Amino acid sequence: MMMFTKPHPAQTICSSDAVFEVKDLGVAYGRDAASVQVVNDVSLSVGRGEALGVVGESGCGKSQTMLAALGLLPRGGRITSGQVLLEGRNLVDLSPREMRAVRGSGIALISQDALTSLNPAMTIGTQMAEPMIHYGGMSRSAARTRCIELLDLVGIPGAATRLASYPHELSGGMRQRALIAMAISANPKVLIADEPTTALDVTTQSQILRLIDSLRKELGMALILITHDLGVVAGVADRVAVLYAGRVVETAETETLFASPRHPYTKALLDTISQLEDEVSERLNPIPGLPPDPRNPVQGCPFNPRCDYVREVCRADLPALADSVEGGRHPVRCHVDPFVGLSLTMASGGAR
Amino acid sequence: MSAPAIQLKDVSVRFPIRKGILRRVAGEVHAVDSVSFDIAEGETVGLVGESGSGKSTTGRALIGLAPLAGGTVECFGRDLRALRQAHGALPRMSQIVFQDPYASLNPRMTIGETLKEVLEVHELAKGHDADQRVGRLLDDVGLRRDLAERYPHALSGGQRQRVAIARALAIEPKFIVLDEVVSALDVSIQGQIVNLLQDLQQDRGLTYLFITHDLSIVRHVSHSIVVMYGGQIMEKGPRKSIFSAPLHPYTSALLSAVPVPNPRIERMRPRIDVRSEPPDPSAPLPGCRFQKSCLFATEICRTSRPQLRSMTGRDPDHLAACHHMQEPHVREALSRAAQGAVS
Amino acid sequence: MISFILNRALQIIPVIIGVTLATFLLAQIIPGDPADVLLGSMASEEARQQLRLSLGLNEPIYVQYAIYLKNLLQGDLGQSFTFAQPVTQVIVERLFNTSLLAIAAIILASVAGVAAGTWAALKPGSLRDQGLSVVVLFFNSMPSFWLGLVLILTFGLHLRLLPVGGMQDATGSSGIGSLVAHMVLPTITLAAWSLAVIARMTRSAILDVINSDYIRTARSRGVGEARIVLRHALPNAMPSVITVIGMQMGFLLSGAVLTETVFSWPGIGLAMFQAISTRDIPLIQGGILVLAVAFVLINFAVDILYAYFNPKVKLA
Repeated sequence: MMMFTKPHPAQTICSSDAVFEVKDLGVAYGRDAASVQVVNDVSLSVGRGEALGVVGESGCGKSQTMLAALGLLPRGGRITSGQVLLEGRNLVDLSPREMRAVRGSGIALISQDALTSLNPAMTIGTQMAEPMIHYGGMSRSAARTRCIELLDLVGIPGAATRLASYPHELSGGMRQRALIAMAISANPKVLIADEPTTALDVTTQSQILRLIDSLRKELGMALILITHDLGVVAGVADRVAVLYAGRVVETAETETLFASPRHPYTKALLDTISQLEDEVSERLNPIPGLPPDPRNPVQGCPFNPRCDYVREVCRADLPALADSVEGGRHPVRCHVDPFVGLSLTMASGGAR
Repeated sequence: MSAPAIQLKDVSVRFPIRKGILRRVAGEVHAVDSVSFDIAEGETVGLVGESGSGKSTTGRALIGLAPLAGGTVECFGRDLRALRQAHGALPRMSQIVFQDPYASLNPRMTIGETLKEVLEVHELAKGHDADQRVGRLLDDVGLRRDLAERYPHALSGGQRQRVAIARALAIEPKFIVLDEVVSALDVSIQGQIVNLLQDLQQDRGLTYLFITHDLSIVRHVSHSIVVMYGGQIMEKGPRKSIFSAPLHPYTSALLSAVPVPNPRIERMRPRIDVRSEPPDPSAPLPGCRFQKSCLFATEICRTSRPQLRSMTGRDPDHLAACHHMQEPHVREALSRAAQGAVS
Repeated sequence: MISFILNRALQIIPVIIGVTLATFLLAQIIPGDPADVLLGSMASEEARQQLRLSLGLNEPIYVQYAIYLKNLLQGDLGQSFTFAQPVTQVIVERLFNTSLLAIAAIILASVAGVAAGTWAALKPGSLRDQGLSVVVLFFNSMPSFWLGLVLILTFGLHLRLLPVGGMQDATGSSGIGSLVAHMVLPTITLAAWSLAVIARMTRSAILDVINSDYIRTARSRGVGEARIVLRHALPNAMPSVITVIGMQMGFLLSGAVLTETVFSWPGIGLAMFQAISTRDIPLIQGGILVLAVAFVLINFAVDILYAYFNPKVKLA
């Protein structure tokens, strides 16, 4: 029986000046026997002015975590455990009224599809100004000025005339910019961008990402960027958390994650991208199998059916999020930790 | 170099705009404007562009789903219009697979019924024989035979897309238009579908037109690339040449926009940008379609439409439509951006 | 918007022409000789021939149609022998009464229906939602004349709260209060079925809309629930509901016949009922034409309203 180095307890979530933290969050749908856990035990944090990338494929729970944090889970969803802390205050405990005050000015959300995220029966100006006038005590003209200011800030030309446009009259890029303007209108402390570029053209994606990044720096907001595209976080995020099957499987600073990933899933995702860069038209080596289905959770580590480094223990026990390297800045949820030299040599006796 | 399977010559597609009280035709949307390229037999041409580029419309025109306002399309030596008149419908040698795996399958029919319907409508097989062929089709696309009993909602996106491919294969086409077929799928599944398509191409000598906005995928599957913007071709040529040293500012802008999964490089690399949104297709300006968005546009770009030309000293099959592509400052900027795009 | 309205207006013209043709043909297919009906079976052959000539009944059918149209444009719908008045006069005298009832009914059905449907939709599956389903089923199933009679029995006879019929008291007192009292029961009777349909439609339209992304956007910016429902959800649910309300107007117009009869309300509906009993073909024809044209115009208004709520339609 081999002895592994005792891992440090998962302390990465320890930023003392974290403006926004999610601790051991669980989200489920349905009741009793039909209950499906879509977020199991997610802990994340982001500091003032910092950008956190949250990466994962469909069904990994990344959007659900953020919706839960904002209290915007669709019908049937509920938080089963954990805390959501905004500047130390637990949002889960708040009354609906208190929560409403937090939304917009504390935390703001930019959704994926700007076409469906804007009210088709209201002009851009009306939608944008609504919270300002009805909940912010601004006069109509003051709100209008502010709206023009915001549209300019996000790079929409002819802002004054745009206020009278309906969403379907704008192009995809314009709509997304309008949505961003609406999100930052109350100067939120935390901006959550949920796949903000997925529905856009490639050249527009690049512009929108850079816009979000520059706004974040200019306004001093913390940014959480949710995406399935690792390339997107490479340009913007300071740190990245990788999610799989409703759990965090790895968290690290961006450069570290790309240069030395620890979890097999992260490595596989990176490999998929870099294979496409190869000059030769060889067969790709995609991750086999299907993404996990929360209705049929797998025993042990959720990635084990698709993992190249799987061992017996992986099929039996869920690994804990732990860090045996670097003093807590790069935790990973893996029994095997195959890419760290230390683990490989020590574990050779328990090979699959 | 095999004979071209598909040849487009000056293909144009226009859609009428109706306005006013009596809904008169007020103008036309120039969705595709005088596009020419060839697809060699057994090879894949990657057709790249963003929204409004006309790439999807071009794909549909190739199989007769969009009306040709001008130009000709030849499929394996025969004119498309003549073929349609003869057959009355889509020629059997061509097929298309669409992007949305959730919308392309009838939710009220099982997978087996969907595939059987194709065989029966085209009078290829009936009854028990059809069942056998459905089973073989499922094998060919890597699905378990028992999925024939299931309904689309029970399948994942990737599985549904495999069914859509199986349906396209059912009539044994020689040419398939793949319109954004992996764009709606997870990254890990995209690779599986791409492998499947490439295997099928090798086994059956299929010819593909792979339409996409995703430059990473298209680089992997295509033998040659065609880049469209605002209904016109900006650049076309062999895959390697296009990606390593693009000649057109738009192609370079596209490549600049694709994120490189290396944080240090990604944040520092020189980029070619686009200035503005794609042009209004109903009121096309004279000259180059890219004029409003191009960093290098000058007066001549606004008046005269550039022709596709090759660059002296480079691959003669690599063509771009740009007045300024030979000029040193343009070549310098594009080359720097191209180097930065390597991780 | 203007060009949209004009475009729709142009589309109505062929519809109205079609309506006149249909009404004209209706009378043609009713068995029996109009001359017999008008003069009685005792009249002489000569008199009948006279009448046929004067009514143009011996002409080919398209000539008769042309005559019919010509008369229409002059406002002449023929003579009602039941009332011994021109049909136009019969209708005009009663138009106000029927309109009053119909408008009151549609307002009741729309307002109460939308409110009830929205209220139920906000908590789907709850007790109040299920309660609404039961009420809706009830109102959809029972015939309006039964409801009318039950209401008369309960409120008119047993409780003596409201009058049992007519528009005015026998004593002739006709103040607003009396009018309203007389209107209550017939309005409820006429509105009942439509209320149920509108409530059901509103409920499903709100449910459709309440899970939209833009509702989530508004919530994420701190907009309160009341505003979300009234300013975001309802306007987007309205297009479907308005279409239904428009259709209900048609049913209301035909339902007026039964309701007016049960309550002896002196409107076009009651006149139609009487006309059918006495086979007063000109009046039947005139009544149908007026009601059909009203229906077309109402739907035209609904189209415009729909475009107001759904700006995308204007571009189509």
